[in-house]
Amino acid sequence: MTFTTWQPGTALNSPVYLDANVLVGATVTKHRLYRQAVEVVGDLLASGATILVSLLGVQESLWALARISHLDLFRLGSNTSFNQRTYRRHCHRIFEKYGERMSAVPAMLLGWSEAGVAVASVPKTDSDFLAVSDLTPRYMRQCGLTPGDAAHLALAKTHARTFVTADSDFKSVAESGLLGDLVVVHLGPR
Amino acid sequence: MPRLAVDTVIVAPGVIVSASEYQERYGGIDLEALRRRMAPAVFKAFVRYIGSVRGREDLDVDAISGIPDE
Repeated sequence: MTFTTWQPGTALNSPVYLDANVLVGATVTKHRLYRQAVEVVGDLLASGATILVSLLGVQESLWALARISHLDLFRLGSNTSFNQRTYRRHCHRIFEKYGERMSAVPAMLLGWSEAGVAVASVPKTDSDFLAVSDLTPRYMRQCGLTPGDAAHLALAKTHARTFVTADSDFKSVAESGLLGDLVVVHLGPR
Repeated sequence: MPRLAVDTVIVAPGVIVSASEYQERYGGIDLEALRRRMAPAVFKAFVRYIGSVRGREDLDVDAISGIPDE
């Protein structure tokens, strides 16, 4: 079984790669996956696991926080559309009002690292980078994933034993047998 | 958790939140069990950063965690 839904006690074999939605999920309150994301993070920190993150994950987290800030800035509904043009138009105001929030995920990773948690970025080496670059379009073609999702999967496959994500698109990929020993732990309805 | 005043909670040394914020960020999470499993510095870093941004109940964190269209 390479795909499992998180519940307390689920094995998180180290190293563990975190999708951007997990970083955002544990940073932002109230949404339906908040508790699960915090449980996963708590278990990882308590167990001493090596936590793997990527610049792609940080970048996607920043977009999520910009999007939330845009909603709050104008008191908009959660399903309001948001694109890069919207961001550019309101970037200054977002940082003026929510500058500290925009640094929440990077600050969290730095804080964990300074406290002694093993936080590492991937790809680690030039050869790792080339392997991930090679694998990403293969996952796009074979699994129909977006470039971002395929890159996350390639990063996890290349460096981790466990991939934690809130994206259910990875279920069919995991069950296809393409991922070998990589275990996908999903945050979602139990 | 020790309380400083009626509506203030010390979650870890230097991490002090209101009772309502405590409920929103840490409610339903067994912090004592996690505290026993973590070094003090790691526990402080854990509680300091989780839930630091106020969200919404109808937020889909997977849908918003991505690079938006141009």
